[in-house]
Amino acid sequence: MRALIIDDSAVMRKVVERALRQSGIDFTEVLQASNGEEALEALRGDAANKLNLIVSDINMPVMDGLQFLETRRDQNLAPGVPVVMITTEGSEPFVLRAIAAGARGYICKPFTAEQVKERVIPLLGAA
Amino acid sequence: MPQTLDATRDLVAVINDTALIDQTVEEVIGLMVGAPVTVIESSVSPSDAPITLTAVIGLAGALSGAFNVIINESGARQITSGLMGMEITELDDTVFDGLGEITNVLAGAWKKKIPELSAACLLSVPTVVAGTRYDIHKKTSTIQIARSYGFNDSAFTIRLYGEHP
Repeated sequence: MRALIIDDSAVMRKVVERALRQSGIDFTEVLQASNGEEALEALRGDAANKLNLIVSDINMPVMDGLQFLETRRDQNLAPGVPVVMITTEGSEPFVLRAIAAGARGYICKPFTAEQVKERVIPLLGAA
Repeated sequence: MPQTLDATRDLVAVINDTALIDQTVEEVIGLMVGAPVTVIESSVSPSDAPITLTAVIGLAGALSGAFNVIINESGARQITSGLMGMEITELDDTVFDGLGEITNVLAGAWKKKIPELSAACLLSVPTVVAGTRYDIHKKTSTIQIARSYGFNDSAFTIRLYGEHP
């Protein structure tokens, strides 16, 4: 399994990677991007064909997570790869906009590795 | 009009409820850092020596102001170590990043407990200031909360201030 983690905080990317690896799923590669624009670049390259999961923050400089979702949808980049949002913005408008733009899961910070596992495993099974 | 004034007073009273901040801190530091916290009386001040770090999250919208976490170098390293699951021994960009991120999560989790702020108060990306004996200047605010917490062998202070337009 291969995942792409999008977060402007290197510490949070590490925290999410640790939670993914604690889920029991064998992630052979975890790619990282520090904003939506970097992630789109990765999806325009070879990474798109190899990914099984994308995990993204919302509040990021350059391009935020919602803009990333909408651009990815509009440009049909890696359309079959499930995206899970992990963010502090858990209010209904953000969740609805993320789901409308193609997010398949939503996890609010703070989170536990168990919560990540519960949200991610069903998506990988359906991928 | 009286109803609007009452609603404003009610919201300010909810924002000033320190139990919500205490609960938020307990949840966030417990889940993400793996450390129990206790409320303490003595506050951490940026004028303390040696190096003190202040993480600032700007608040805009239904609450306009800032959510600050003030902590000494050792405490910031302990928080980052807890987040990453590895010992951090030096004050570097990783520590600034970790402190900024935990402050962001604290601010986000706190506002989520207040329905009037949840969607209507936006958070900025964090800024972290590090130094010795510095002052933070701000406008006089209607809402001012200061709360201090001990964890492991360290402490931090949350200072929240702002206006409800």
